[in-house]
Amino acid sequence: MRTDFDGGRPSTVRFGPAGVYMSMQAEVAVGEPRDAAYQRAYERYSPELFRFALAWTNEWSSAEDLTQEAYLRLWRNRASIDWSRPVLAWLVVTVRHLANNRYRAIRRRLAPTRSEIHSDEAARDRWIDVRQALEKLTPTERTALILTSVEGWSYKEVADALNTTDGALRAAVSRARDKLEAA
Amino acid sequence: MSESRTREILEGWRVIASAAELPKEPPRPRRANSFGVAGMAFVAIVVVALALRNQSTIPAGNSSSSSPSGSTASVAQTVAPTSRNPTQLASTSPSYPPLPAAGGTCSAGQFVLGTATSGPAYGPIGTTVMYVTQTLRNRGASCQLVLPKTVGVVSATGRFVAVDVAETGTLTSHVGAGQSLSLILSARWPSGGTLASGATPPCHDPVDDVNRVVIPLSTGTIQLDLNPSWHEVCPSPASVSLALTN
Repeated sequence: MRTDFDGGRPSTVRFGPAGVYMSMQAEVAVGEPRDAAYQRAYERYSPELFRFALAWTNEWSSAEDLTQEAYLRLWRNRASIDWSRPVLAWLVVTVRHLANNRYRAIRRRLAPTRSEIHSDEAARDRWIDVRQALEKLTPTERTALILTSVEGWSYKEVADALNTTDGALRAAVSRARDKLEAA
Repeated sequence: MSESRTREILEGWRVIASAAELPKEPPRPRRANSFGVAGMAFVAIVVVALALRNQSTIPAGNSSSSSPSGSTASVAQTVAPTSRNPTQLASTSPSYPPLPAAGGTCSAGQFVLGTATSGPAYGPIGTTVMYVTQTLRNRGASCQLVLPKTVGVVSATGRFVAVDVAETGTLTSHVGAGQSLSLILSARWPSGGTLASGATPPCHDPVDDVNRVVIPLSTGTIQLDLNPSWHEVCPSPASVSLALTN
């Protein structure tokens, strides 16, 4: 990790595995309106947050709802958020808590006729196959496997996001692989 | 161990997840861009004055309207002075045709509108989905809130149409005295272009530019002005959804 100072504003830049760029840059410069920081946080992290939610829930609609609700909560808390810390970490924890308290079950009722995935029929068929295979894993196993193997997160980053230890996480990844191969 | 199956699944996940289409704008409450402290104070004074006036002229659950049931009593509300509510109570209480009353025991007049948020939501290709989350605070006795199966929508031209709510299951909530909860409304409509697979089919006789929703409770109605307005609401198939959350 290196620390740079860009025009007087401290920023911390970290490169994760496989060249994944994970910026820990302070979200708000001195005097910058927080709504602009919120906008930037959405543009920067919403795809990644959606993929985390998708890995955790294995449900497209739930991942959409959780992502949206997490940003709503970020908005409501923007005055008290410590923008000097990574907002993505806050969002990830929020998604996990929302998923655990079954909020998504209520939100899903918003548009019950909505398609499960927003793509063509071939993609939907493939998603059904992928989803069914991943359904055999626990949320921790599934998220651990996807984030480390597909999304390029480090084991420590995933362990922090899932509030577990590095060792437990590695065991979860191993179990996930065994289960997928055994199916 | 070759782990070919694992690689196949993960590659499939990667391709599909990376193709997700996300709304360009994040969800956020609507508010005036350049209001300033003086402007906020002025709005607060006006809103409080309206609320006090409405409380004395429109008792909860009653109305001067000749509607036999589902009376269209607007709910006098106070709005948090530090935020502009995107769903504002109509300043007048126009008389609309009666709607079927919802079940439960909560009356419209016992709720105060709080903060509201609105924004786009995810939808199938070719579909736009907009939602509104409206906070309600129960200033009356505890009651059972039941969402209606039919609501009224009003277009910018004043056309009023009763529309069925998309099936949301049995959504009720016990609301204690002083308790707050959120009402979530959403609507979806085609966003143009060719009709992609999974998108909403064309609507017969849609209601365009909906800027108000009338929601009946067991007694009275809650009328919400929408900002921004909804481009289109379809009576059939139902395109409006309701939900409750604490």
